[in-house]
Amino acid sequence: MNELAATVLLPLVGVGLIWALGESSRPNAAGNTARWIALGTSLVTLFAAGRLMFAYPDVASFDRMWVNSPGVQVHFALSLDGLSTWLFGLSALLTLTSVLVSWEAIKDRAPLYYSLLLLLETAMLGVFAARDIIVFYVFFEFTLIPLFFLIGVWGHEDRRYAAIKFFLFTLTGSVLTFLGLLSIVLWNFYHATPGVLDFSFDAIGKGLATQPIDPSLQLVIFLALFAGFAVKVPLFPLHTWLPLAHTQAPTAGSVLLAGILLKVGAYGFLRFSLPMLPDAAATCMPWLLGLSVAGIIYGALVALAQSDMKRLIAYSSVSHLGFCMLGLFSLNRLGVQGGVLQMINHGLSTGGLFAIVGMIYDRYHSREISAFGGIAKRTPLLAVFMLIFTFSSIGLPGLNGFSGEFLLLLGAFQRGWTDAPEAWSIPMRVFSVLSVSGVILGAWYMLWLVQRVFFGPLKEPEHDGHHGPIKDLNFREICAVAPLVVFVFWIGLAPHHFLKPIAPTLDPLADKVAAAVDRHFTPIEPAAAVLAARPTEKEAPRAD
Amino acid sequence: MFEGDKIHLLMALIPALPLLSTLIVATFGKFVLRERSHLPVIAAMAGSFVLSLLLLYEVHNRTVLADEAYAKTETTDAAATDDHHAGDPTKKAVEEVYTLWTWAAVDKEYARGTENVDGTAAPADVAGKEFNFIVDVSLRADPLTAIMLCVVTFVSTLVMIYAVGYMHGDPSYWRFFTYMSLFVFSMTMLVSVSNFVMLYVFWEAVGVSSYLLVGFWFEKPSAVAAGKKAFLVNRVGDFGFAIAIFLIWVTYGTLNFHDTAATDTAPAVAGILGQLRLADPTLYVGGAVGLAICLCLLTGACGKSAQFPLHVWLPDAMEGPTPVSALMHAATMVTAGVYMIARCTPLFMASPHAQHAVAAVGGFTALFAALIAITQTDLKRVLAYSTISQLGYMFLGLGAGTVAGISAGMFHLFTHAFFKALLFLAAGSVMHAMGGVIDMRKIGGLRHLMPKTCWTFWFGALALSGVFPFAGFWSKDAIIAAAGVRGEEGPAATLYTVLFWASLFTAFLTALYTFRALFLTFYGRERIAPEAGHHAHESPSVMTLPLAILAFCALGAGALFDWHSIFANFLGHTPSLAYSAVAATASHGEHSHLGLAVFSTFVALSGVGLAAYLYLGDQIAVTKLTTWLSSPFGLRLYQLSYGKFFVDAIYQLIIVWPLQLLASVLGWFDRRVIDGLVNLGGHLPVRLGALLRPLQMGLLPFYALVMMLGTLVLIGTLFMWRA
Amino acid sequence: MGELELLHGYLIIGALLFGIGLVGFLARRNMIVMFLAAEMMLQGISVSLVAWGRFHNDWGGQMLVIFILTVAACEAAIALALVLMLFHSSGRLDVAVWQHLRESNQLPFVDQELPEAEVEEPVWPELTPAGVEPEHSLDEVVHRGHV
Repeated sequence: MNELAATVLLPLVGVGLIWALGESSRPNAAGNTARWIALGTSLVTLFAAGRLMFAYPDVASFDRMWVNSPGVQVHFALSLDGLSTWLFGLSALLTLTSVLVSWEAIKDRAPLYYSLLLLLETAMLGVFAARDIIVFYVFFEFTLIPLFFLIGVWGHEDRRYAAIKFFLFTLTGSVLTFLGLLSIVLWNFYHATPGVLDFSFDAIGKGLATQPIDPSLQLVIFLALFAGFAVKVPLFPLHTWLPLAHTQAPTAGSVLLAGILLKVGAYGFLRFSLPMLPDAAATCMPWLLGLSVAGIIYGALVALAQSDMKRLIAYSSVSHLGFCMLGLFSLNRLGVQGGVLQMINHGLSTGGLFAIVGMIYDRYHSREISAFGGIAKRTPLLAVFMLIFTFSSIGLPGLNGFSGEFLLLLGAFQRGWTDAPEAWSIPMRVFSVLSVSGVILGAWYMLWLVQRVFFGPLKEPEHDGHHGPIKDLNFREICAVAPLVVFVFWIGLAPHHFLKPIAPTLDPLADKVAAAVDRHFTPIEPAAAVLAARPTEKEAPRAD
Repeated sequence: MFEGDKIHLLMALIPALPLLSTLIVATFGKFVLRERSHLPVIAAMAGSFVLSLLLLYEVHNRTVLADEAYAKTETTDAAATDDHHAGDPTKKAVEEVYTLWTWAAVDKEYARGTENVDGTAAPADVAGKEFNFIVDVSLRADPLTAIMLCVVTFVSTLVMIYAVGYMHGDPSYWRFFTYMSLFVFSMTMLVSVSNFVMLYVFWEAVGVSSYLLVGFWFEKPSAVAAGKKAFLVNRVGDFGFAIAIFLIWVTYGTLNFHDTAATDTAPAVAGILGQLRLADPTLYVGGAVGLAICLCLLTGACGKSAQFPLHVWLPDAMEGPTPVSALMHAATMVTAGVYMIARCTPLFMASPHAQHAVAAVGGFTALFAALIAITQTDLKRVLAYSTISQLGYMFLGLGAGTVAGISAGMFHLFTHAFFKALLFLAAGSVMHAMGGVIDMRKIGGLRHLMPKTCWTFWFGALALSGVFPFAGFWSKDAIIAAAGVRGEEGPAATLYTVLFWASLFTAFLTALYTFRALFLTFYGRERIAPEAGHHAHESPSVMTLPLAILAFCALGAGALFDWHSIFANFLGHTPSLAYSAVAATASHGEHSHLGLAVFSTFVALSGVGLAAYLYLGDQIAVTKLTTWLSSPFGLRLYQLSYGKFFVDAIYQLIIVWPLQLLASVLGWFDRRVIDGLVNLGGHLPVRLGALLRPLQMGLLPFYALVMMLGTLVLIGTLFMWRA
Repeated sequence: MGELELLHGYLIIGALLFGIGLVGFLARRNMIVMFLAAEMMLQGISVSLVAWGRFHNDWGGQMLVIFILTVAACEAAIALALVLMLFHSSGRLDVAVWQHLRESNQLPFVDQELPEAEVEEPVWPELTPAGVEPEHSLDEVVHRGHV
């Protein structure tokens, strides 16, 4: 059996086991069995995914014909490439964290809960590994279903409203995205492979290489794809589902939502919008950069005004994903690589932050910042982890946040100051400088949160004490966040180790869109002329 | 090459030892080491210090060789002019770079055009080339680094020894030493790295150490707030620094200080401060871009070195334990900004306006901080403002843009580290004895109670005031002289003349407030704070020994290292300062600054005298003076000075409060308007449905009617279409 | 008469039948009458079909009519059975009784009640108690309309 396919489908085995063994007369025992099965499955999946990561790029792809009627070809194709590989690993890692974080918190209908978590894991792994549009879309939508139930059943006060809003908002966008994807496939059908409706990425890539889509049509398709992916990311101003969903979700739901599912949107941009619609991407670049910067500053400022811990971190996610988008839409190598790295970093740091906040909630059953004070005295180890994730989140050098942020800010700056289109030079310069100011704001609200909650005189919210005295992190909780911390430091100290394997995939992508920018705009710096004048053997072959 | 390996080993070990001690104390400190947590740390510091001295020796050997090479070029060119220094200054440069690992690399990232961002022509060596983005973790060894390392490790060792006594009995003893050791690691790396990105990394790393240490006693809200403020104000400076780095990247195509040799895949790239570029001044970009780069670098330096207007964090940072203040906020962390500007001298030389800005900022801050320091009642705050003021002097020296000025600035950094650390440690000693009280209104006349602290404080005060032959005299005098020389001729001479006189007045004020502090604390009627309890005695020898060592350094370091300009000559071998444009400003022949020396000593002594007049004895005169200055006739100068010129309040009003208001408004906007729009989108189908719902009446004839109408419409459309 | 005129005639008859049936179905509330009207519509269509069949010389028209008649017979049985059941349920043959399929927040269709005719209360004159002379109004005394 292909290793990749096995890893993707392994959590389903766990689901099956929970169904089979999870029934028990004693209610607690069912939950106990379920969570141990879930833990085992996620560990095995993590191990398998880890093996794939180490073996990358020698990962065998999996390709089985799914629908092969005359005229329609749908492959069940899975493979990993530079874009998806680290996200694949991150999905497996964060699922382990979520299982461990939900250990004590979920008592009611636990087998169902853990089955949904594992289903979600399969969906996430499948999204990143998919090599076929139908497979991608199926998994893409499939991530919504378990999450809908996770939020709606096991969430907090406003869970029904949050779940419905999240589901409908995201679904609306996704349907438009599907239209866009189908348009691309149809274009291919009419122009490149007449008679055969082929959905696989390879076929589409080959088709578009010979017959690129008409620029005017590209713009329409880009906007359709944008609708879905921008809601997922989320880009300002389509972000309002995020604070609600994150706040009302149970801890594991928040971890996975923030850690992985937001990245699916960005991944979609990188997989579809940029390579398949380069001209539209180039045309929309200034607007998208503006939206990203708006998201950065807006998210940071609104986070400053929040009184609920999870809501604050949710808005910080808006801000940080703004950074990722800024890097991606800089449309140069540095920006794209920085953006992709920052996606991983954000997953780690925000996943960690939500896990920590979840642990605080488990102890005190309150998320109100004003109810807390000086709890570093009570739970020092918790405070240490919180500080690590805080500094990771605000981009402290030495930790992972800085490596992604610096690269993408440098890419954005380069795009804004030297490679900007002439008509847009002033706004883009302003954007690039404003985006750097995001580091100040980021530090402000996070440190303010830490100051109010963890430091100062001890103040704890009223709790009825049925949990016993508040204890510091136990072994299970440390195991939940320790792997994240390991990667926080590893990526911070040696990001090259993570960038080098994915550069061969990302660089041609960035080059292709950068070439599109050069085609569409007169640059203020005649770099195109410079590049054209240079002897061509230095240039990497640009897949156009 | 055994020679190369040895120096590489030294370069790697010097920061590695503090890192190792951090990890050891972090892991084992809480449960295993406990009260012995200081042992690994002090061993690491002392080890680093010894290795720094060895590194200094190695570099010194190389400078000797470099001098010989320079002498050879000198004699061959002496025939051309009769200028004594007509040799090739870049021959004097001594540097050694050791690359550890690649931090990040993106190939073929940047295709440089032929113009800079402001439209001027790009430097010849970068125009039209394609650059790879490579950031390595690479260390360098040159005179500037070696000096900084020695200072940092020496003062750290002494402060750690002191802290053993000061922090004795604190429940978080191990945590203190973890953070301090982390700080020393960050600082040693900061002065050792060889590219801008790594410099930024460790720049922020010392910032986070500062945050952790200032907020060390985290149950105190004021301490936590002070830590956050320190970090945030530093971040504002870092914002400027980051912009500068980005601008440097787009202008020069590299972020390394050193030159990168050509490899199979990439051509040679001249580093920003590398010898290839230094040899040819035209390879530096001036104009608007150069100015922007340098001003942004200056912003970063201001943030770290607490210059106006980013000085507000330093007085608040006194909330931290005194050894922290002594180490970070006197001797090492705040000097990072000075180090950075000294390192980037060639960039500043290409942009003279930026240098004027540096000098102006420095001179203004020196005066500004001194004016505040003369009325403060908290001894540590007096010393904090004194630090800001002295850093201003260093900036002034660097801003003079001459060999003399830059060497003077760095020399002042060197001597200042000793006497300021001494003063802070002595203040800590007083605080320790007085049970945590450092308000000079509550304590007094301690010279009989704490004689050792008293005489070491005297030495520090004399050094700070710049009285011959103490250390401060030599360095401060050199700065003032450089400003004066610069003010005689050349561009912006008026500015420098103004700064010259301002710095002399500041020297007077320095002596005034220093000795005010000394007399108020140690002279007069003996008052012991009630919180002192049984602490009220001289500090143990573990605390007074470092004081004594530093006192002797404060006495002799200046004279020793200024004799025959040992310091300046050694520093001149740094590549950034062996740069031809800088070397051209070397003073031709030794100017005798005897007149200035006498005058400045006189100024200092008059300050001492005034302080003695006002603060020794009954202090009637000073009370009258204070009353007069508080009145409207005295323009309420006293309140202005005591209130620190209300800079904090101004910031609160124009920055903090509006942003918080904006945040609340945006929060409301997000909840009501944007979310409202989304919910509106959700209500729309419901409303539409409500409109259409009456169609379902339940009445059969009605349905039949609708059906018939529908059929009619269908048939009608068909007919229309056909037609 | 020509074929065309014959066709026209039959079509008119058919249309009339269909139209009357349609209006009857829509306007009447008695279920049996509504059913009758529906049957009438069917008959109208049948007439048209036969006419077209004759016009095109195609037996198909008449065949369809036979089918229609058969189906109409079956459907009549079912329909009348349903009507019977509805009548048993509600006791009335009024189709407006059956509104259960409407939306939950809709108001039911209620027949407008005829307003009750205003019967004016006759104003009986007030007689004074016997034996007492009533107050005469000045007007009556002065002006006597008739004797």
